[in-house]
Amino acid sequence: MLVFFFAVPVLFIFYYSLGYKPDIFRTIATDHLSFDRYVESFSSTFRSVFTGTLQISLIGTVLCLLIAFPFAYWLAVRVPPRWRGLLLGLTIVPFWTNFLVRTLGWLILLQSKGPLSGILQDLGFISNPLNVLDTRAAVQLGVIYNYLPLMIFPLFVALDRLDPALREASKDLGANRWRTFRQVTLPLAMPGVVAGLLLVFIPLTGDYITASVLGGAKGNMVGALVASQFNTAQNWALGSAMAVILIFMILGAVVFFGAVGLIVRAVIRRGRRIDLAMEPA
Amino acid sequence: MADEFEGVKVLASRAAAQRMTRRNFLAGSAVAMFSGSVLLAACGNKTDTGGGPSASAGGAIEDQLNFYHWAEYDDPEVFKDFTKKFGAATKIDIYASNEEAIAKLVAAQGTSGYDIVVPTGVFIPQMVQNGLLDELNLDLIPNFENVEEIYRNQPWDPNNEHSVPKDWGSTGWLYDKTLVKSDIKTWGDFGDVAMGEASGATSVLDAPGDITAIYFWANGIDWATTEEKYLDQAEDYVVNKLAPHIKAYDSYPGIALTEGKYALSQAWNGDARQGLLSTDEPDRYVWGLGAPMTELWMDNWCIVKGAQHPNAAHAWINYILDPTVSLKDLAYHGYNTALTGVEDKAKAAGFEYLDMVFFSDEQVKTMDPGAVNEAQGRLVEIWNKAKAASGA
Repeated sequence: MLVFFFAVPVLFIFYYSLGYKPDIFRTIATDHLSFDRYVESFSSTFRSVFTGTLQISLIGTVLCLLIAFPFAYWLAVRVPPRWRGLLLGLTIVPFWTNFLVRTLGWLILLQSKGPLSGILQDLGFISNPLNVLDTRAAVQLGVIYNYLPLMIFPLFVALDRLDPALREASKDLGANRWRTFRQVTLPLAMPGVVAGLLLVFIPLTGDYITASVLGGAKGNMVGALVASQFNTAQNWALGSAMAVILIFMILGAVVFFGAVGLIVRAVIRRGRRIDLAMEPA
Repeated sequence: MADEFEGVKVLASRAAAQRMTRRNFLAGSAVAMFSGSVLLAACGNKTDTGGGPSASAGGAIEDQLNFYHWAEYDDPEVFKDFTKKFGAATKIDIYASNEEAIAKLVAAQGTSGYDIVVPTGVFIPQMVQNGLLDELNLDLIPNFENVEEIYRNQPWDPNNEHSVPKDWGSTGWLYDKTLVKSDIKTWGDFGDVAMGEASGATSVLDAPGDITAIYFWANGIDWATTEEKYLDQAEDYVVNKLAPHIKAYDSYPGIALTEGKYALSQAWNGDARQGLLSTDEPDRYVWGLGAPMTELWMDNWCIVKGAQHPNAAHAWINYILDPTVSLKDLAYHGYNTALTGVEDKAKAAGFEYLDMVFFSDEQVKTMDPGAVNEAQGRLVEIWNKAKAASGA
């Protein structure tokens, strides 16, 4: 199954990326292969859109983490167990609706003649109609909303599994709340944090629905650029090359941030290391 | 009881498993196998006909008709009336530009499932050459005689073998005069306002040709040019100057503009008119036909190669060329439907904003249909670059 539904299409994309577009009525030809499409892909067009996308996805992932962590902690630790199921259920409710419909919901909400604009004007927070649609801010808001649950779930699972006795022990040994959080809760929740970061960062970087619904010309994301090569420009070779680059850039980003994370952890551990040999005998 | 099921594993609830006998299990399996083979057979049929010839025209009208169409381009009532009269249910899928439609039809190689497509005239010769369109049987379209003489036998399809006119129109702009104080008279003014007063609140059409054309029309250059020099100039203007001020690439900005989304939009006349019809304060908005030069496009009813509902498709084309139906449709989309006497009928019916539907001879003289030629790839490239530059 993995071979058929994953490896084969990806290999095709790779093969197509070596081809070219013969004329406006043909999407792809592969009679002579070259890396020219990759050179074309690295044009300023792709680079500027990719930089914008990376910015949106990094900010989005970090904000998702910052919002999801307190919520997941509260849900796993503070909320009485009998309410937990209900609250977790409410977090899942948006998933019962189609991704596109949820995003269109924001489109209606954020319109300059929409309800949010009206309320903010009535309350005097803004004097002119809300003008956030078709900007990068709207896309940022949309992706955070769309991917937040994917951050909450793994964090909740990680924090829920944490034995309360560990926190109590930490307190008993004299650590204050902050220190308990920093040295006990957070390190033990780390697998959940990493899972959440991956689950949000990877699909968010390739997302194109949110960008095409809320972003207009200003919030263009690289996923939309790839889609437009396939759908509108009919240049499958160039679209494939961009897709391959996107795959490798996402993998590269994951490896890079993974490496940074490991180094930071190693440095922290080194700083905290208790050298037994130094202890007086 | 439980012993009875030993050796047989069935995915069923416990209660259902208790009730499950050998007989109804077998019956169930038989149904499953049968439907499976029907599905397989259906797939088999699909490969047989797909890519090959379309079902032949001239028989009973099928129960279904699939459109690949521009958005908001026919009165929904007209579709309903058609279904009521002929029994064929209509399904519509939309595209934003000819390029997009051609992309999908080429990729599908006759298996798209669409019956009707509505390309702009200049795209038709190459669509025919590349086998994307079926020949029409004009015997099945007696209402073709309602089409005004001058709109028949267009250069892109001299004998109307593959297309009959749906309607024609032009390109101009619509703006909100409470936000744009200056008067827009030409495409040059359009560009200046887009980069000035209406910066960040301007939309342009989401079609490659129309974007570069803003530069060509403003500067008196033939917008079908293939000269490298002019294409370079257009690229510089569109990508480096205009694009950073563009809010959206939108082929249907009319209603969005009157809802406050844009201050200035490049728009097709009928779409701009739909915007004016949808608002309570039409006096706030100004329509202008592109000048000193602008587009003349004619969209045409065509039958897609591989169409599975050709009789319904011919019936539709004949139906929509009926003067009464055509007039009803015009009231909705606001484009000249190219039928004899349609202008007088529209006037008699008291339709609003007819100056946006019917153009004077002087206006028509400034219009140019352009061409699809070897510059096409370059235009798409410029359009991609412009989109990227708008987001930067």
